[in-house]
Amino acid sequence: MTRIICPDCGHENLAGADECVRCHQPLTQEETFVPQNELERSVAYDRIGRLDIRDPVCVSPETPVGEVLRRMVAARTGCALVMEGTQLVGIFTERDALLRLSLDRAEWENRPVRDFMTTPVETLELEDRMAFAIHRMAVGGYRHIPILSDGQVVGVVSVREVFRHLTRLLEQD
Amino acid sequence: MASLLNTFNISREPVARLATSPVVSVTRGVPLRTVLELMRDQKLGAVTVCDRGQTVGIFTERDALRCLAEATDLETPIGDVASPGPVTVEKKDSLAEAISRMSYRGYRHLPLVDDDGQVVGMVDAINIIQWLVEHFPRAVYTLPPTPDVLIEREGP
Repeated sequence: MTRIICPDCGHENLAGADECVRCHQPLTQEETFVPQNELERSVAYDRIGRLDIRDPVCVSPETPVGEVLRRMVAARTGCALVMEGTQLVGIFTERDALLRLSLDRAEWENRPVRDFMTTPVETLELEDRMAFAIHRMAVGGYRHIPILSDGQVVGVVSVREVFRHLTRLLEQD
Repeated sequence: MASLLNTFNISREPVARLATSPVVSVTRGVPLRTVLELMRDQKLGAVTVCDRGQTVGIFTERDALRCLAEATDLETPIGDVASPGPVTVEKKDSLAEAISRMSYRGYRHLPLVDDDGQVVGMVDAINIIQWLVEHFPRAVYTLPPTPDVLIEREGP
């Protein structure tokens, strides 16, 4: 389901809503939007699926956090998705490693990642627009957002993929 | 007609317009343990590493992850585990230039230097993302879901 963000309060509304269900500001278009270049068009209209979505590092809730760290480093990625079967149950990022793990590694090395992960996880859909991903990163301070399609995880989008995309577009203009 | 152009020209907008984070610098002999504690306490994504007044490296949360994963000795001097010769930006560089430098190697932090080459701030990718969102016009969020079907002309 496509969603639209309220420009006033940031609430996510279902597409087609005439006003924001939270702040009641109108969501209808008062002006015609004419993108002036490829970058403007892409940010406004392109779906997240246009980004190079990366294969995530997936671990189980019982995976020892020491092993999760090593897998993240090996995959050169800043996050791991914690999966129970095909269900996404948590996310563990390099920021969590810095903020939640003590300097005494004996305290955490063999403990399950479920004790340190963030849950529930904020996700977006492949069909959501690029502007949406950028908005979510800005508001939540998220560097990594898992992407779903038909309820299944298909990858992760990070600030890096957004910037690569913007750079490609700038080089075209 | 509403265009993004007036508010959203990242090729012209200078990095100086960003709300950057203050930079925290440590000397290269400081032990890893102290730097990790500092980054945790102050919630820093990166610190610069200096030697005799010159910035010689950067140590980011990505480097911290590697040190934790590899069980690096916590007494190691930070200069030995930091990334040397960080890519920087100047205040007059455009946002587009900063974005391009970040995407080149996947960097998320660029020290901001003044005309004398002194580091005066830290540009975090999230600062740029937040600038973009603040400068998106309302229209970006309230567009009709399918844009590509509008041009349908009657036949001659």
